Amino acid sequence: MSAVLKISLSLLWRRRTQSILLIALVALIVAVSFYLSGIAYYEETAIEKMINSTDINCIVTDARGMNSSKLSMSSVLVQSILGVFEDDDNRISEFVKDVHAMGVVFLTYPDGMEMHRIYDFASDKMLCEFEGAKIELFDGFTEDIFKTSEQVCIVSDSVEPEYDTENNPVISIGLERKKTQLRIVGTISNSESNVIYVPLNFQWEKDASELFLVDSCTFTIKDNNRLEEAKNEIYKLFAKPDLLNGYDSKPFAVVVQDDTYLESLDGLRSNLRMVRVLIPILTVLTVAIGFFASYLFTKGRIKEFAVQRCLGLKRRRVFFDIIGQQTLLAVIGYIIGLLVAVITKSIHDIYSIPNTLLLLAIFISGASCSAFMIAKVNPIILMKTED
Amino acid sequence: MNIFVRFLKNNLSFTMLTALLLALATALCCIGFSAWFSVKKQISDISSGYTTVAVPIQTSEAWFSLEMDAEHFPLVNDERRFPYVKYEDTRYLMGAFVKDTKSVVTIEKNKVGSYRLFDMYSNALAVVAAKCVKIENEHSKTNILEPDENGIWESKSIDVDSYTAKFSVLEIVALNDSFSDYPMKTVTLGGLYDADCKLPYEEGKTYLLFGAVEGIPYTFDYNENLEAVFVIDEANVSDQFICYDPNDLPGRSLLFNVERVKGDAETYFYVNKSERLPFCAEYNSSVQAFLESEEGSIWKDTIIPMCKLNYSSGSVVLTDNVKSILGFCRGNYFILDGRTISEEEYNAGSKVCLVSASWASKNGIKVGDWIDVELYETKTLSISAPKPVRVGENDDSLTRVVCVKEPLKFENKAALSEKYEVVGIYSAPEFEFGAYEFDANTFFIPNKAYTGTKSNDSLDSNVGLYSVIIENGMQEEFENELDKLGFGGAFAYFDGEYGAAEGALDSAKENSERMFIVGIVSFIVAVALFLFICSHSMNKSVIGARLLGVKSSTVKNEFCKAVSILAVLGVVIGTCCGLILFNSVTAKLISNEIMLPVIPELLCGTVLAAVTVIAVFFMSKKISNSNLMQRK
Repeated sequence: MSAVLKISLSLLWRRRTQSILLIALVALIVAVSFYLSGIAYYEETAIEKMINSTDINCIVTDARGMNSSKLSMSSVLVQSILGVFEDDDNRISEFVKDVHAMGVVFLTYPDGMEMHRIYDFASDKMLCEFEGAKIELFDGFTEDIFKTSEQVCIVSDSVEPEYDTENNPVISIGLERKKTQLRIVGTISNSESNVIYVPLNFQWEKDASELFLVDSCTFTIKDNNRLEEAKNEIYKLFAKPDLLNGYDSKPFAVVVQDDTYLESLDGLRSNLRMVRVLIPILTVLTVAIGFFASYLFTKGRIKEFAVQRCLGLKRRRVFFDIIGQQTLLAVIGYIIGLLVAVITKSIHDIYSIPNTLLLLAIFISGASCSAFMIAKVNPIILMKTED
Repeated sequence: MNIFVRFLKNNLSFTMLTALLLALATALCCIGFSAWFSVKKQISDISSGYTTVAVPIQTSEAWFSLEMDAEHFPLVNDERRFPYVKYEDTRYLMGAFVKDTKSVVTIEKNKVGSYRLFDMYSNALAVVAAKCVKIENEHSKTNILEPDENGIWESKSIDVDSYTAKFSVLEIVALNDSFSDYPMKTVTLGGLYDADCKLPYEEGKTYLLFGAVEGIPYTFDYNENLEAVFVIDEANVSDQFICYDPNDLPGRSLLFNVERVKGDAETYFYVNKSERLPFCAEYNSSVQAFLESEEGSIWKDTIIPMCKLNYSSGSVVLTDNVKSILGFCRGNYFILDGRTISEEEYNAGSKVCLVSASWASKNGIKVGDWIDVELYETKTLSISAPKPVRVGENDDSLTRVVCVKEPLKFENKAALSEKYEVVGIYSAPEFEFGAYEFDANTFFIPNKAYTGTKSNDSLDSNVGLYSVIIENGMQEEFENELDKLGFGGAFAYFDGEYGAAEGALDSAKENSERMFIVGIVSFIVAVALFLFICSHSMNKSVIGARLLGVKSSTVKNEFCKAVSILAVLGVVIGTCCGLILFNSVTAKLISNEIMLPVIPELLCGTVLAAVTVIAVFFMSKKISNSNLMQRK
């Protein structure tokens, strides 16, 4: 070890309180810098997660928004939402998901029976937990069968089924002249016994394409990042509900329930903007503290440097001695700060390390300024300086 | 002069730099504090936009075991204070007369069959003058449930005397406009006797009859889309009047006061014990002459005005939070125009209300209009309505719950007419069966807007009148608490997508806390540096003064004063910098969403100044007591 380094180390050791404080300061600056740079990142990630996981419900109503349960809406509109009739002018299905739709048909056979067309179980309020309904699907069938146009159904467990040639349970239904046989794929308990649930797109004749009426329809926005685009597409086909609307051009409307979501998102984004603006300010303030502390500490050792100069040390040598000592303290502080950041998981990406090195340089520059000023002054004057 | 003050004056660069060091640290701390304070408020505002609600599941066995009466059930009373519960919304259902308006009638909305129950005790009330043309006496056996001597309920068969009386209508005295399209020519009544069990009618005589229009007879037909549509049953449309509803039975009478009375010959009669509301009155000359007579005064002054009162009536739900109502939680009730009732309005009991879109549309009411509301106490019953099936008939084996309330009666007036501002128009299914549903004539009003006596007798029969508002994000914990008591599964939870936003809100909150912590830590380190630098720089002066014989207490005081001045100067500059920086940044870049926290920030600055002065005091004590003889 060179004599100069030994002297430097012994000097630092003699001023250990000062040295520890400077090391602590650098460690703090580095840790704070990592800490603050992670803040915006985490908040941004959390907001992104919120955007992706919030379900924005959309409810189809009449044009005035007064009713959402007995719409008698043409199946064409629902099939547009489902993407069956997609074209260049109608891309609504690209923007929506979780479509629930149902329509009620009063059957003529069996007498007094209702046929509920449903797209899934959530489509009919009577199948929800509040009504106490319990659905049991037979082996090999899932709820997804209601998204097809198969001739299947679920019925009340009190219904006595017939059996087809393959011994599958079936039920015969009829409406005026139309008649067909539905395969029973599940049963419902604690529900109305006169309701047969069939897939929404159920067709009386296989491979036929029939229009039917839908009583209610709801859906959610697929990608909330494209909410505005989705709304534009929705309002191409539907009206915005308003009590003053007529029923001529667009007889149905869609209520997009995004108020709370947008309010929260606006609030959180403004918060994020604030964080983004405050982080550099806080960082600059932290670094400025480091700069001034470093400067003041170095300036406090002015007599010591004056003696060194009187003993014949050159200005450059004094200058580099000061820088060397400060750099040594700063590097130790940096390593401690880095360790603290790693332990507290404040480092979210590797790119924040150069930033902290820059802060380190600013800190050392504080000492450099002081050292430069000290080194260039006449040692006699330095000796006379009171402080 | 204080030698330390002189030292600071002579070393202006040192003074400025140390003050600057402390100012920077103070600014950092103040900004961190401001950010934390503002974000906390902002997050609280955002969170208040979400309401986490527990709604009772009517089919849950656990729900029934929760002793659902007003005395025992509340979750937040002193004995049963549940954690995570913010408050309960125990809603009250009252009747309301709304001046210069008309109620929405089911028939206008093509709702027929058992939908008549929605109108039975309000819009369907009517008075007609008619001539009795035929009476047929009936005798039947019926099973009833009655408690025996030991109070145990048992079923027994009784003989009941009844009759069917047919009338030809002479004059309609009171009838809702909505029914006037359907000519009423004959009416059929039956079953109800005078208080003394006498048959109230004689063939050939004329009577004023009071009761409810049963509903328009109808059949179903299919249109070209094979959609079932209802068609007026022209053949029977003229015969549509009853005196009392079959649901208006002893113990649950809503219109009359019906009781089952044992007659002379072991037979029972259903009689009307009501003194104020007779269901018929014989008249001889003209209706007008009868109404002018003393006997007719009850009809003129009470019954006919009461019918008209009920044509402009609705239900008022007194609530502490409409968002806790299942329909609003699910999203099928929503604000179509205007806004919902604010928290301040709930707390202040403001005279504001939400009205349904159907009612507003019928009456030309807009947001911002004021309506005259007169409140009435009304009994409410949850009854099972037969479900309408295809062929114009009801299937009694299939029932759906409908909540009906008794008619508005003058003697039940609870509050004088008061003006309420319509702040919002909500959309909801107009007439939907179900325990959680409210019809199109329902108004939502803050609970505290009505300060009179309230009764929630209807709570046990209407789960739609109760929900629990719990702390956001705490539904799992709340359910676990209930589960421990064996009540798990009694509630369904709705958080309005709070779950999705929770992470982002937590992150924002944590970040603000981080900034505050960074500020505090930086400030502590900066104060330590400041003190170290000051003591280090002034050490010579202290020793010099002490060697010259100045008392250590004097040195301490002078050092303390001088450095305190410097410290306070630094803190004041820092606080001002922090205030200016934070507010200019937030105001320019984030608009006014972030509140200006001037007073809290000034408080923060004061605290920092006090902390620094205390630290200076201890430092001065230490430095002034240093041993002069053994210094290195």
